[in-house]
Amino acid sequence: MSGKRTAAPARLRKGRKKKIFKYTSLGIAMVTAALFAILFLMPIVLTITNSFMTQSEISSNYGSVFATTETGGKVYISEKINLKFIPDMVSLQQYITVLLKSPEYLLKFWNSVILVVPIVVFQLVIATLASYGFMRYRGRMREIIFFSYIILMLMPYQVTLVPNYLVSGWLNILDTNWSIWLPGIMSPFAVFLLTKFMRRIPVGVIEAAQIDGAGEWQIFSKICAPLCKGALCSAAILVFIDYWNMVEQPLILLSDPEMHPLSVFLSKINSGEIGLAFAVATIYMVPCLFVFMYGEEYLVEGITYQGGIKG
Amino acid sequence: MKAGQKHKISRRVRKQKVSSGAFIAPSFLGVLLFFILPFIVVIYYSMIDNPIAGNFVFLENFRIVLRNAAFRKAAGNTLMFSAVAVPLAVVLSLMLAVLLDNKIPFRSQFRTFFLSPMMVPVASIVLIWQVLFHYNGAVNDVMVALGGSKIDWMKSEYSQVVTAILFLWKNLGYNMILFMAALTSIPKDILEVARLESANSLQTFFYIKMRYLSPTILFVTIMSLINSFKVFREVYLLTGDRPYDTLYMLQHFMNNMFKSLDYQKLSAAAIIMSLVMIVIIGILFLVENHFGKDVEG
Amino acid sequence: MKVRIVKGIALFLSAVMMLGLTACGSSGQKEDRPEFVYVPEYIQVPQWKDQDINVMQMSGEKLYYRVWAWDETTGEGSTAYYSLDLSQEGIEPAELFAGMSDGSQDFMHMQFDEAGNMYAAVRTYEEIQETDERGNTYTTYDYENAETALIKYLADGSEGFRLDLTKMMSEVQDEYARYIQYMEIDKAGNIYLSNSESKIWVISAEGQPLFTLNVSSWINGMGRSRDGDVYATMHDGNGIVLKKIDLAAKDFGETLSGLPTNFYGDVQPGMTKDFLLKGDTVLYEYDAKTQTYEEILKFIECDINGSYVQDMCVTEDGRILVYYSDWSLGETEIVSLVKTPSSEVTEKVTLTLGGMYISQDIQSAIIKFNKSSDQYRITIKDYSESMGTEENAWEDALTRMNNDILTGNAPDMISLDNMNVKMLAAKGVLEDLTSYLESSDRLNREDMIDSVLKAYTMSDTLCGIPLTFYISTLLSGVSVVGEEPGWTIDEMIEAADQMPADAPIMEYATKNSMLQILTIYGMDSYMNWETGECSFESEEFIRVLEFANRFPKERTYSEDDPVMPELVEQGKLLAVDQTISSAGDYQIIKTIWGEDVTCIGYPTNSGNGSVLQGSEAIAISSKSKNKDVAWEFLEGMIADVAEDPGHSWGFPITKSALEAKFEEDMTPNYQYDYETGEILLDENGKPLEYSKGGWSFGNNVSYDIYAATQEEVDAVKELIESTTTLATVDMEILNIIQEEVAFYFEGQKSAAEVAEVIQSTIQVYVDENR
Repeated sequence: MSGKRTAAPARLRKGRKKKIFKYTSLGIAMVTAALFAILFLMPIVLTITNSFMTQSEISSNYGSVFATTETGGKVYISEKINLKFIPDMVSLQQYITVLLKSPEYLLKFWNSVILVVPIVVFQLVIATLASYGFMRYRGRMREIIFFSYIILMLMPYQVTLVPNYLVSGWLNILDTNWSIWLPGIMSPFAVFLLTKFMRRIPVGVIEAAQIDGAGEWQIFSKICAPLCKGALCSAAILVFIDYWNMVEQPLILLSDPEMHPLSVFLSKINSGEIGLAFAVATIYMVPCLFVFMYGEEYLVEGITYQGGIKG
Repeated sequence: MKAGQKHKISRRVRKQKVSSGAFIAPSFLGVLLFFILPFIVVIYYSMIDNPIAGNFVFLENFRIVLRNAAFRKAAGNTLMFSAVAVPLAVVLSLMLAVLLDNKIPFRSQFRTFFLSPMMVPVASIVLIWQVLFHYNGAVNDVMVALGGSKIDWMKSEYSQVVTAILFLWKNLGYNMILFMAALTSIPKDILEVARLESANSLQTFFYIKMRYLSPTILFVTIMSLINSFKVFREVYLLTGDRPYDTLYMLQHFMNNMFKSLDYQKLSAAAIIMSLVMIVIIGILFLVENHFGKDVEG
Repeated sequence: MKVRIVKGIALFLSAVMMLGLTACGSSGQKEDRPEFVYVPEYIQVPQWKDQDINVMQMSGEKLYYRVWAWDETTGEGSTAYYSLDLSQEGIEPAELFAGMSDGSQDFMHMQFDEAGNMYAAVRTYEEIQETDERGNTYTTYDYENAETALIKYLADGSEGFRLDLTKMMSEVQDEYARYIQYMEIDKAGNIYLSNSESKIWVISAEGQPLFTLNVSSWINGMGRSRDGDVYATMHDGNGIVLKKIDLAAKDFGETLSGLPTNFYGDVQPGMTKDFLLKGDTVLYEYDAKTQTYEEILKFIECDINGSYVQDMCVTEDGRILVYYSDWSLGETEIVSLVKTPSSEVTEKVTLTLGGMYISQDIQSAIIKFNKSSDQYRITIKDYSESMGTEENAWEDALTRMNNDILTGNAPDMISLDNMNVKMLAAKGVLEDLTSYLESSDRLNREDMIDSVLKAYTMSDTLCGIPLTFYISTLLSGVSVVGEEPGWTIDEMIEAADQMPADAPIMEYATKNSMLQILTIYGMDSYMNWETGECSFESEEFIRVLEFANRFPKERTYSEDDPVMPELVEQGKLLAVDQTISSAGDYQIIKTIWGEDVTCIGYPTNSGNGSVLQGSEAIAISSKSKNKDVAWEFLEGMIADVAEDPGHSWGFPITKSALEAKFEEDMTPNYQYDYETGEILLDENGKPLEYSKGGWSFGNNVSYDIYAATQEEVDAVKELIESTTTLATVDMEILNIIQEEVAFYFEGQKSAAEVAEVIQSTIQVYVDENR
């Protein structure tokens, strides 16, 4: 895919002036892109470099940021907060504490994995099926359902909090991983993404298969699903990132802090734990990084079709 | 013969209808149980006087909420924020995509860089924004160094700006990727024709590329809308449940209603919000159908 | 390759889901009934009746205790040590050592090993003779120069060894820390001593010092693992940890973390895993290899108040023996907890008592109720219990409770401690107790103090009844503030302006504390809930900010600072912020002021400005299915305290008990002559009184409380009768103001800028609630 994109359109002879213009505009583009890149990368770089600071250096730099008053209010920060990129002394102290001395962080990391991976996989399975269904038949009923999926996706969590708690209670899955898994798996997000893609598959391909005597299941599993591979990958990345960052659901549905994922911990760091936060955050970003590195090509490809011409 | 064929077709359509329904069923049942049923619960709650007594009052809560000054403020701010931030997110990311569409070096690296904010955990983001935009933070230091005066970013009219920057920072990369993909999928021959007819690049962009981008614009707009609601998490961690009044969003209203056990008001607000959403997204769909038609299949 | 990855993922997933399924299964059951419960059985020790018992240790199924007996005929006390074998029933206690005198000896800590030898850290004092004012000589001990020794007593009472610890202990700088707080013996017989602060001394089985460990943080406890190694509990930077004491390395060995958040240091050898960890309310078992823990039982479900557990051990047949003494119920018991399948235990109807903190007294009352009821059982749901230390933890816990209330799973009873009572009452969460109280057999509505009931009546609902109550107010001399109670913010500022320039106005006044006193109940001046108007931008509020800004930023303490009575004498205090929980509190303030005092109250536009605070009020949920049972519990608890207030702090809530208390306050404790039995008189011929207590300040200033006069009692009575406002503070508003005003106090923003932000934020808050 990327090969095709980089293939340049036929070049015609151009005047020198135009060439200079082209290079300056390219230069401007480079500089702009680089500036944006610096802005965008800063938090990650900061997180990683700060993870090599000693805990005492961290708390002296940012300790006051997360402090609270006795009554729970935010504290006024009088001393200057030091935004520091380069540690005074490179130290592995944070990592040693996180990885070797306090297994609870690894446990939380494992909780994250256990909560997120099944959601990603099964949400995609169910969404692929559903989006195929939406693609194959576009009646009014389906359109309404599809539209309502989008609306439901937009609901802020404050709205669904109590009903979700209630439904989990009815199903007797409160305080178990199922209370996170099931709503996650059933989330309409991937359906929305994949349907956009599926509808792009040329009707001719499917009709040809039908004429060859293929049943619905065969068309789905042999033709449409494989065609969606790129879109599936991109959906997987997005769903993964979404749930890897989840905070509210576990807080409400899992009352046992032992079951909480790392994201919950990372959303509520207090001044006592800030010394470890950067190492934990770096470790936390590793899976995302891998997912990005391996999935980035697919991400572009997958969305190419979704965003591209609608069929 | 003809009649038989017609009959056959309609039978096929019906068969298709049924079997495609079977494909949708698992998802639909799940959505029904975990999304629609809860939403019905929300509707129920919106029509009772309070969750403890549970007396039916029909539309009374809607009347109360619509007349509530805090709700109006929240709705106004949210609308304002979305009306500014979402189009900005669309336009800026499109610009970035066009920028990277030039064959500049390190393209794919840039692409990854722009995506990277998505993976930063909330705590790091909050910390960095806190450090930057606190009254005694880094940005104000720069302002003072340049001879300006300090601005209380999070507690003044600027708070919406700071939030918008945060939102854009988090979502531009993602939107950009969507646009880049759409740009590369525009048929090359059409662009070639345009160039041969000596259309300048601006003309090409507005008359050809935009046409092909319109479905993507809708998609990106909806995604940005979704994400503009998600930015509340960071705002909440930055400011707590009582922010400066220009930053007071619908989610703050709902959050605080929950805390004071006014779940009926929360529900009514949620339903009003979804009605507005239905209208907005419906309009977006109509617009897209209108513009996107001539480029379809 | 790809196929393999896919297969791998599939395998992993199915494994994860299976895990989830089993987890779901077990915790799904937990919701209803656990598989096993621990049933308490009480072990009776006949010898214990009417004796002064001090249980020292439980280990190896043996209970070691000390009996202190008083011999009437000789007038001397004696101590005897006993062991009791708990592995079988009906075994008589065996006497170990007898007649060990501890007159000049202080047995700081004792520990028994398996063989029944006793190791004691003993402090010995020199006897010295002193003479009092009347010329009588008496014997006392030289507490300054004590000698400390570790003595091993063999089972026959003879001394095994004696090691002088005095020199070792002198390494500790702080004299108060030269104390043996913890002692533990490992499987090889080595002895570990700790002063709980900074040191651990290790001594060989033969009584030779081996090595000393220094700790930078506090030592919270020491205990043995199942393998017989000794571990110390302490805090490191990230929370509480267990550290092994490594004999070979003469240093700390492995560090174990991942301990429960409500575990503070009490470690015992485990049943099947390495350790038993005792939390406040829960007993955990901890596995050192995986560094994970598991809940074994909740004490309250075994009718034990976890906080009063003194010691415990595990028997070979899997019972858990608990020794506890509950002071509030006056019970000392040895309980054997037997693991029993739930199916064999008759199920009772369960009521829950929920809250953000459940006090010890309430827990003890629940245990009492549960023991006496064969039909009902009250369980506790403390939402703050699983709360971590992270930011917003309190709010998350509140969210969980709100969720339960909104979804109709509210606890049957709600402890109102730390609760926004006003809000709960307004939303109809709480049941009106008026009719229950009126038809009560044990409580007489007419006898209840009206102001308490009035204070607890909100939204026309009597939402709770406290066990005792007290009043918070500002007090000042009549010459300063006049006789009429109650003032507004403006009046208070005006009065403060009359004070001398160097006057601190209030004791320890800071910018924040002054602002808090002014605004805590005086917010009604700047906002109107009815119309929703706020005026925090007004000149008046800015004046309040400016007034508060005159005070110092932080409290500074110095030994030489004049204490409160001195400040009053110099006329530099406008008022004192005081909790009145007895007539004595009022008497002292009056004595200090040297004139009649007025309970002027906190500045406010309405009422007298004093507020009433209740202790341990419990409400019944309006959704409870067992309201009558809940009331029965409540009634019992309230009546028990009302009938016998004993030493409970604060005023009793019935008129009769309050009258009795005042009566007692007014009765003087005369000094009698021992020989003649006559009341002693002072030089003026007035009878001498013993004091009923007193307050002491620094600088050798102290005040004693003597019998109250009728006027004093009347003044307190009037205060009680006129105080009908419950001390409910709107934390939201206080937080908004405090957070923003800090910028003004730090000189970063002007008062007007700060007031503008406060106005806009509070306006939204007020709007929300309309």
